[in-house]
Amino acid sequence: MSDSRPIAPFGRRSVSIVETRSLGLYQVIKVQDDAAPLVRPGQFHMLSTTVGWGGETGGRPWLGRAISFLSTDGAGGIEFLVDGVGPGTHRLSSLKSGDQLDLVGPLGNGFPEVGSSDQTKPCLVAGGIGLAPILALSQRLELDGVEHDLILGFRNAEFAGAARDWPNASVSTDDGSVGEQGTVIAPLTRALDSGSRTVYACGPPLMLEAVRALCDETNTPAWFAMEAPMACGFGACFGCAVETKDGIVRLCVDGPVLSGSVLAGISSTGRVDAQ
Amino acid sequence: MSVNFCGVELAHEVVNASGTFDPLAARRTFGEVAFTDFPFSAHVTKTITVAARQGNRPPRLWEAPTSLINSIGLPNKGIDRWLEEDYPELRKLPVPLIVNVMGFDTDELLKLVGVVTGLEDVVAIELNVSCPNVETGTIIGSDPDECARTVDAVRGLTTLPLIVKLTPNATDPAAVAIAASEAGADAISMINTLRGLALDPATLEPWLGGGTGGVSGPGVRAVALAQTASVCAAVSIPIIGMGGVDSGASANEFLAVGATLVAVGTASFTDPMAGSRIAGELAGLRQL
Ligand SMILES: Cc1cc2nc3c(=O)[nH]c(=O)nc-3n(C[C@H](O)[C@H](O)[C@H](O)COP(=O)(O)OP(=O)(O)OC[C@H]3O[C@@H](n4cnc5c(N)ncnc54)[C@H](O)[C@@H]3O)c2cc1C
Ligand SMILES: Cc1cc2nc3c(=O)[nH]c(=O)nc-3n(C[C@H](O)[C@H](O)[C@H](O)COP(=O)(O)O)c2cc1C
Ligand code: FES
Repeated sequence: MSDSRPIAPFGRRSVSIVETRSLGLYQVIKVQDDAAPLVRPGQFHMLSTTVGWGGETGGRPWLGRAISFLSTDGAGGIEFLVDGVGPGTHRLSSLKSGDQLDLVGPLGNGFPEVGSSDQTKPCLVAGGIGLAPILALSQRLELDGVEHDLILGFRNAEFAGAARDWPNASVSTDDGSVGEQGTVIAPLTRALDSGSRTVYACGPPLMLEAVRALCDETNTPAWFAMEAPMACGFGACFGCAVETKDGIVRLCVDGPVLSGSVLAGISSTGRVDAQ
Repeated sequence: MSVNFCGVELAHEVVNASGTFDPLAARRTFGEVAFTDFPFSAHVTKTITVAARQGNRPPRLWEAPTSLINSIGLPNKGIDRWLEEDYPELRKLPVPLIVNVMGFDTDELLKLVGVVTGLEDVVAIELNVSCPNVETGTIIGSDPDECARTVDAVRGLTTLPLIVKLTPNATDPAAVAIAASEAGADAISMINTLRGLALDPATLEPWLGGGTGGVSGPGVRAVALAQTASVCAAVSIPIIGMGGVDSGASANEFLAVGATLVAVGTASFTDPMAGSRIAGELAGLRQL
């Protein structure tokens, strides 16, 4: 577990949205956050909107929502990628430039540092909204000049529109409407065969479990950015419990990135899979 | 505003509610400032039991209108590892410690209180009585006689203030408070979470891994305030009021009905510094 993680300013702060755009079916919101210029791929923030949070129809959203970041300019400009699946993410997706966002973060450990001298070629794998931390890591590796594979899986062409800015990625879709038909497992198997050695993955639990099983079989070191329902994001509530070989951990402080070596299996920690 | 609680001078009236703020995890996330600028005037630990506990199976959280239903299940490392690993770090906090313990029988409680009472920087012990007596099955905090017996069992072991944390899931919390006070409790804290049920929208089966859960947050504040008012009227020992406090104004309501301190729980989840903000707002209100 890395404790050289970038440290978050204490408390919740308000930032301004400077830009929004859509990426496939997802929404990108960009903020300027001068208080925390450094974030590590795989870290996340707890987000809520300053206006229109709580007290909506049904009384939700009320607690903050955990959202990874998609990119950073290293000077406080941070982009989030939001998949509207419920009241919180729908509200976040509706934000416009100039609106205020409340956030706490950066939180969690993030992916371990990948050195350019590492002999093990990184292979990055994302499914669905798992795209955000994986593209953040890809951006970091590109800046550091680390060659890597990038494998992106989507449900269909509409969602796959999110991959448009990454022409070098190998894309697969469940329905074959774009790229290769099927899951990320076939391209991942090929990448491992051709010398990719450490896997970094984020996506829905079913996909992560398939990737984990493959890496386990092939003795491939792997890191998984995982999800669990979260109320606080900084270790206060014990709500984000995830089972590992070492017992139950709090995903928000001990993760969200966990090594494959501590995972016996990956399953959804909510009852209904948001994907 | 500085306040005297059971003979202990605290910088202001706002402490954290047990199980809702982990200073060690906060320090990993926010750095040393989480200690130096600790938001509360005392740190109340999460409930510590004799044996280590994993806690309940996920899912553990359900968001309801302005409230949260949790079934965390009191995960903790057990008193021995707490003493070895956490206590030496928690002592570095700039505020005194209140240690919250739960025993599943009298022997366990005796062990816990016996260990905690000798510890430096610990200024009070909070008894979480929202658990069943393993012999009778009754939730100790819901029954005046059970509660009195529990306080009586440990009273002789410690000269530290004993705080009894009441559950709101009792027919008559004031009767439990009177029994606790007569048995020698020095203070009452209340309320613990209200029993609640969340159903999976797809299957209409219980959502939470623990079956039912405990409701907290602003949605329970009116209930907490009414119960706090009735207990304040019934006993003369100091009260730590809590349940949905999220502002100086709502903290001030608990003080208005007679509480000496106010605890903040769920509000810290949305803002880790909620305690400081609430203490500041409260000080402002009390100066008017
Ligand atoms: C570390 C981390 C990083 C993440 N990064 C991103 C990201 O970059 N982009 C992104 O879009 N998403 C991300 N997520 C997922 C995101 O946090 C969730 O999709 C979001 O919290 C859903 O909130 P909602 O209100 O939109 O939907 P909800 O209604 O909360 O629905 C989401 C799921 O929660 C469950 N649910 C339904 N009702 C309730 C209820 N009342 N209480 C509790 N649970 C309920 C169901 O399983 C439902 O499918 C991340 C999650 C984690 C933990
Ligand atoms: C996630 C969570 C965990 C809690 N854990 C404990 C605990 O370990 N021991 C305890 O006595 N109370 C525990 N409580 C109850 C709180 O201390 C408090 O009594 C209750 O939440 C009401 O206050 P609030 O509305 O400000 O949160 C917990 C509450 C929550 C929400
Ligand atoms: S989300 Fe609260 S402890 Fe992890």
